[in-house]
Amino acid sequence: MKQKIINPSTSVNTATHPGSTGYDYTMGPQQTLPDLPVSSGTIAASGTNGGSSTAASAHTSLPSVYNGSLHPHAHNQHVSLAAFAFLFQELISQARNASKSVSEIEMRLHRNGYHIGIRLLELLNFRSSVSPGFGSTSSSRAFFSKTSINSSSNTLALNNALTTTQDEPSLAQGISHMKRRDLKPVEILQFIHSTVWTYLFGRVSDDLVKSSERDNEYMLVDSAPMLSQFISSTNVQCDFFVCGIIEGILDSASFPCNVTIHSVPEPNFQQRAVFVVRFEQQVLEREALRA
Amino acid sequence: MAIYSFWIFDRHCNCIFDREWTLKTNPSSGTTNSKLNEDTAKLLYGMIFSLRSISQKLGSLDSFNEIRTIATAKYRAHILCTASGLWFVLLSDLKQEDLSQVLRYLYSEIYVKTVVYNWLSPVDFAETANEKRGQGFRKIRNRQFLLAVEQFLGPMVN
Amino acid sequence: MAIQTILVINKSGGLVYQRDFVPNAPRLSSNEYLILAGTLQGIVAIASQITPKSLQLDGKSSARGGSEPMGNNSAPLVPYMGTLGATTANGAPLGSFLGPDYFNDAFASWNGRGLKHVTTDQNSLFVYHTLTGIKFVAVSTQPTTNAMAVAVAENLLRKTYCLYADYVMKNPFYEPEMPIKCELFDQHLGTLVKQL
Repeated sequence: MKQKIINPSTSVNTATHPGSTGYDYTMGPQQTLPDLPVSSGTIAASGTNGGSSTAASAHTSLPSVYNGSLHPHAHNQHVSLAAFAFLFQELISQARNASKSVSEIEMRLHRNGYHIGIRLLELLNFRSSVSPGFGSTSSSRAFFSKTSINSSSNTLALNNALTTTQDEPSLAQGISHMKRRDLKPVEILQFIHSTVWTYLFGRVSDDLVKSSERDNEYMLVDSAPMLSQFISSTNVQCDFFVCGIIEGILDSASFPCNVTIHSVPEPNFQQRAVFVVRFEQQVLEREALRA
Repeated sequence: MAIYSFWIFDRHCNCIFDREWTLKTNPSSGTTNSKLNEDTAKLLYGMIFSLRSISQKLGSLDSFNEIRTIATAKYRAHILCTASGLWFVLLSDLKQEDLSQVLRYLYSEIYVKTVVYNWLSPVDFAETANEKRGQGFRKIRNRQFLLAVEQFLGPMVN
Repeated sequence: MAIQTILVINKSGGLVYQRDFVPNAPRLSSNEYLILAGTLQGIVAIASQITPKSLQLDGKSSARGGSEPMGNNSAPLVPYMGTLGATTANGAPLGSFLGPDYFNDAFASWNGRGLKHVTTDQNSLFVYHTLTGIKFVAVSTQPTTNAMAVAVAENLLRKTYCLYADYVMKNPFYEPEMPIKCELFDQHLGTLVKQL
């Protein structure tokens, strides 16, 4: 199962730390694509069959991409933190070059996140509908995880997926009843606090509090924001991207609101951030009618 | 123990003595006062000169911060700067952490006794004004000195 | 032995970062530091030019023998030192490298021939090269030629490089090759040096 790792020609001592995991600064990116069996005929066949069980044989057909990412235990859904950091960096510089003021940069980031948010609500709601015991036993992991996948386990996972298409029941059979729509503001915020945060950052957010001053305000606390952890504090709040995601989720769940971020440093957590969710008046009115 | 070469520079920035061993196994191999080493001598002088100026800036103001060793991944240069402006430089392998004793011996027991005490040998090797600033060509050719250096450093070569 | 100053020199020899860690460090003007950085950049190249002949001969013969793929250019591995700089005092990770400590093996230095280490009456100066030509320079407050101390310094500077990769290169507001003004880099470098 030993994978061939693509090393830059300059790395000298790859053999000295074979057991190490994670991104290696000294080696650069590692190949995480599996060694797919090279058989030109069947690949073409499976392409047209869309990974259905009629594909030539389980061994040579490609797993369906769609099945894989909808699966609640998609345990190989990792993104290298470094790779994401550079992508995020590019996103910010693009916003910066196109903007004239700080608030405009933040608005652009916010908008980028918003579009992710409205899609994320669909995906995560669907995933929560699949009963927990269904499919793989391994727990779901974070999207932006620090551990890049061990290449050999990746092959295993794909092999599992290969067999899934034939032996295991389809995803639809794992859903006994769809998850109910979140109706109360607190419910949907709980959903963001736990499910969304775990999906994005691999842990639940640090706190969810209701404002004591205003009825329509809630605060989500993250003491070490994952996305902006490398960014020295400047005038621009890069976590507006995450604000956008939250607002996108809440908006498409029919909780129109406005999300802003405030950095509240603490001695141990210099980058502690508080996301302030301010619901529109209609949400409160609706809530009053329901009760 | 391995040493690779030995150099002396005078206060006019001239190299007045160089001895390089080319074979580790043979202490009599290599060159003495060779014309081929002129460029290397200039580079070596330049490197030490620059690092010396850096170290003097980095040290505290009230005392003099003289350079002692320079190490690269392959060799180590040991340096002794005397009050009269002479530099004694010895290149060795990386295992030699401090050869200042050896350099001090070369200065006090060999250079002083065979060159300075020797009335027939010049002490200042630049005779005219245009032999200064690296333009000098006169070297220590004193037989006693050469012999003493060979005897002292020869056993350390391999 | 304490670290007096850490410098970062970019690949064209410009000083991009300079920070003193001891209160009584000599005050050099920024111009003097710039000259110092440029000089070091030159010396690094010169130092490899004056490799003794007997070493050059050795290198050629072993390269011809073909036993070692890198010839004599591969420097010996630098031993790994302790758990220096894995986490901050409150247990938070210092960078994005994995804890308890990602680097727990000896590593090969990329500095095959160039300047590595200088000692003077009062200081030691350590140089760490990266493959991309950035140089990390540490000045300590005591002269030492001890192989152990050199290895510790090398480890320290390698960690500094990691922090640089995290907090400078991943900062969208940093212009490459320009002076580093990143609070987080300052802060984490401070923690790292304090652990010595």
